[in-house]
Amino acid sequence: MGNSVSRALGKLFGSREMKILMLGLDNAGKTTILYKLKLNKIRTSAPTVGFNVETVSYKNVKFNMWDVGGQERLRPLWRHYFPATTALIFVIDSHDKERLREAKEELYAIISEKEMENVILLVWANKQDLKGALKPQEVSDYLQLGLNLKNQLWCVVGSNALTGQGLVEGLSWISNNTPKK
Amino acid sequence: MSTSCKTNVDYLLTAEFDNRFGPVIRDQYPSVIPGFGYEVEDYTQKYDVFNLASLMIPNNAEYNTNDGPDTTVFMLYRDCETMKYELFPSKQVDQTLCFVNVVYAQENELNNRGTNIKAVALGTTMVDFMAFKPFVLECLHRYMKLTNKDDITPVLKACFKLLNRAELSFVRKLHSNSIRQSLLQSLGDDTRLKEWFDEESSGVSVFKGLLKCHHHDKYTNRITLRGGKISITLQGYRPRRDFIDFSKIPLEFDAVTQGPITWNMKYDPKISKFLLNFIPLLRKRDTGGSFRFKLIIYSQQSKSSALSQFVITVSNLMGLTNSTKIFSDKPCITLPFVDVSVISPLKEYLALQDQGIFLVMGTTNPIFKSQDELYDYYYDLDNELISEVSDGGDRITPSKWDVTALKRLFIINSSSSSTSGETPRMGFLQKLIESINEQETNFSKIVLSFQKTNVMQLLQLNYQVQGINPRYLFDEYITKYRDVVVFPDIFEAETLNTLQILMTINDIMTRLYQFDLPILERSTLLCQLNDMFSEIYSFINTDEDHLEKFLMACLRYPFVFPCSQYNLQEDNLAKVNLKQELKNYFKDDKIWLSLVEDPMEPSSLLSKFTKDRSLNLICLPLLFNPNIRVTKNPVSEHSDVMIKSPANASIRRRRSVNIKQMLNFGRSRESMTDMSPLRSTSEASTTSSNSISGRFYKSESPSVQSSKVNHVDMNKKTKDIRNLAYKIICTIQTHFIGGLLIDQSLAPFFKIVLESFRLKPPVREGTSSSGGSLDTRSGVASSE
Repeated sequence: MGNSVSRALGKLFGSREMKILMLGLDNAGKTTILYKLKLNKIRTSAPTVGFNVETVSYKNVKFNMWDVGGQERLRPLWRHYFPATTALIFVIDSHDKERLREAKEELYAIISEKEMENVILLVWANKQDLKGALKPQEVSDYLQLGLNLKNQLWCVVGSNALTGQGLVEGLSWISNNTPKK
Repeated sequence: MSTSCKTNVDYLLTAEFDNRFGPVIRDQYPSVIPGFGYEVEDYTQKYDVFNLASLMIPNNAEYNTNDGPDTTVFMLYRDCETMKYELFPSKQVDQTLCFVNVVYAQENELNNRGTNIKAVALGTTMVDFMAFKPFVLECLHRYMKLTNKDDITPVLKACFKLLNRAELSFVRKLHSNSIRQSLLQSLGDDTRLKEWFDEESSGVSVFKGLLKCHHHDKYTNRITLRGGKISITLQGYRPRRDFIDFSKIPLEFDAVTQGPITWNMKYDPKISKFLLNFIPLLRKRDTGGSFRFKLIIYSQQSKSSALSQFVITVSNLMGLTNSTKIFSDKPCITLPFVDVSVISPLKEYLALQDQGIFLVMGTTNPIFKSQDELYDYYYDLDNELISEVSDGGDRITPSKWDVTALKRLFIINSSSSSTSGETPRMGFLQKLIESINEQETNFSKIVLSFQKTNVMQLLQLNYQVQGINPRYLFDEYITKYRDVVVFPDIFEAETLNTLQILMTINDIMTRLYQFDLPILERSTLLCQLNDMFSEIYSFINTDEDHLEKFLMACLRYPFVFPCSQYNLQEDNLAKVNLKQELKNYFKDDKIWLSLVEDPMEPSSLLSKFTKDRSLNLICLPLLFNPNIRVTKNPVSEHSDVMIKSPANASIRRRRSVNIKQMLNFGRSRESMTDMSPLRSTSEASTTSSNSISGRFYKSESPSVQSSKVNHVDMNKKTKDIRNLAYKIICTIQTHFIGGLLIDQSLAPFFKIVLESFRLKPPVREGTSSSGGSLDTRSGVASSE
């Protein structure tokens, strides 16, 4: 019933659909975020072999969210998921300081691709619940996005996939910053 | 051990999902596969182990924790120049390695991500590579228990040694014998296959005939034939006690393979729905040399094993699994399961195929839909929707189509008959597919119905009259029909010839049933018939291969030719009622169908369509009456019938009445005249016979040297044909399958006639007939 009403309202006020690509190093929490958003549940922490794709509805927007495995050998395959992407969500394990540089390199490798030059970028500084995790501002400073992304919209949001903290804010930012046609 | 052709198993591989790196190959036993080395710096190497590892650990393998291990298959092709294996066949492939891969995910507290994901694959050049799956499972079972520090090599070694200590050359020989496999693929009944290829039910002659080996190989492994499978009990090598379980697993190969890649072939309604969706789109494609297609079959809901099986099945049905160039010399490739790791190498490979390619691949990853270069058609198996990339590269999806296109798609996806001229042309194959009952799972029977459809349509191409070069007949067939379900072995010269002979015999028989046939024409027909039977007899006695080729062609020759009044290449059969067509056909063809058609039999369209006609056709001359009487009226020049026709009899007439009539050869002229009302029914056969006569009457027939016709000559010809027919049947019966076929396919009536011939063999050629012998047979039949 709820879905029907939502669909009807969507038709009346215009609903949008967009492809969201969620990338990041292995064990950053991408799949946990996806299923927290989709099912409001914490699913197994098994690594992602390949990809997961789910549709998450927020307000009148349907986010077709692609979560792609982040292991080293899988990263060269990320580019196959680039076509028709509206927004890139890059998930960073804020607690894994040792791999922050690796994450930064991968992020810049993605956004320097031609196919990704028009996408908006949301960085989820994940695992904010862990003691010693970098704050979103610290992550942002480290990534130097302001310095390097002159023509792209970007945003860093702190998140905790286990509680859902920051997830809706992130989607809301994407929704508000993409064309409404 | 070297990877020679005689090795049963060439490689055993293990892979796992490394939490930091992704899919990795852990072991390649007994050696690294050439072309898939670990040296990433080797620039002569097109691929690396990552490509292999990705094939072994497919997408979403992490969710495979509750069910049993999932199975995928993949192939590697060896380039005979570089002697390295590749993911796609080059122009010079000398060996194809088929891999059966099993993958499993198991929760494990010791793993920092909580789950172990591991896979084991076995590579072999044997066709029925799935026979090794139980051994791969056993390896995986043991591999799952090991930690990263443990060595899996002893397990792989034990399995490898055990499997290579079996003499399987006889299995290879059987599976690579394309003629025999073609024959076995036409037997038309899964249950019957299991019964026939079972020593206990069929006796040891079938074992000997089929396998041509002893019950023990040189390693003392025991070989048996059970339920359609060749079972080998591995007792030739005793592994260490730790691995003794391996030797308890029976190695079982299917006797019949359903193509160069074969895997537990099953027919389900999804195949019908796919074909009904796909064929109309193919009809829209260019004709001629540019005809080709790349097809992706996608499913999110299917397990990788189910999807791979589906892909292999449809690819086999479309004749695309053997990587030989079948249509306009274009390569054909089947990739049962692919993931994103294959995208780049595949794009590179496709860029080199300037002639185009036939490609079918399966994936569970919807991102392939955005890879326009990789496909012309994208089939969503879960929703039974097909999208097409237009010539300009634009994708036409159901949601993007204009109203007309949407309507068209709706029609395509609907099995209900539609109205008006909007209905896309529907060919015979589509009608047949539509009629396949959803509960029908007898794969052999369905395949046989497709084979018979091929033959029926091929014969309607009338290629001899149209002057089509048999070399290009396959291309011509595809161009004309666009059915895609096609069996290339039908288009081989000797098979074509046999099919033509059967068709001609059928036509002649139909003509001979006519009462009012002038004696001269009757004599000509008999001469031709004699030539045909002589040719068959000579052909099947050449060697076993020829006999099997003949039997294969016989089995594929249609029992009925429904819709024969339509142009099957052009007419739209959408509104045709196939059941009614069949009824009409029986009405027209009742002259001799009444001999073989049992009205009590279950009358599913598929059952009727797949019945045998040819063997019964060959038996028909056994009913010939050698006591020809020429009428005294020289004007009409009518003779008595050569065959005592039951033509007036309704098909529904009681069989005993028919048999009596059929066997009543020795009756006098007067009693024949009593049956004059029957003659009118012979007109029923004239449509087909007239159309065919011009085609097949070979006036240059060596037997027709003189226009003089006398009844002594006729008598001799009749006897000769009858003897030849009997000898042909006897030759067929000497074959281990032929005997079973005769038992199974021959109408009960003919079996009685044949039995009576055995009791009293036909008079030798050249001797005079005693004349009344068939009356005696009549007595046998009547007492039945």
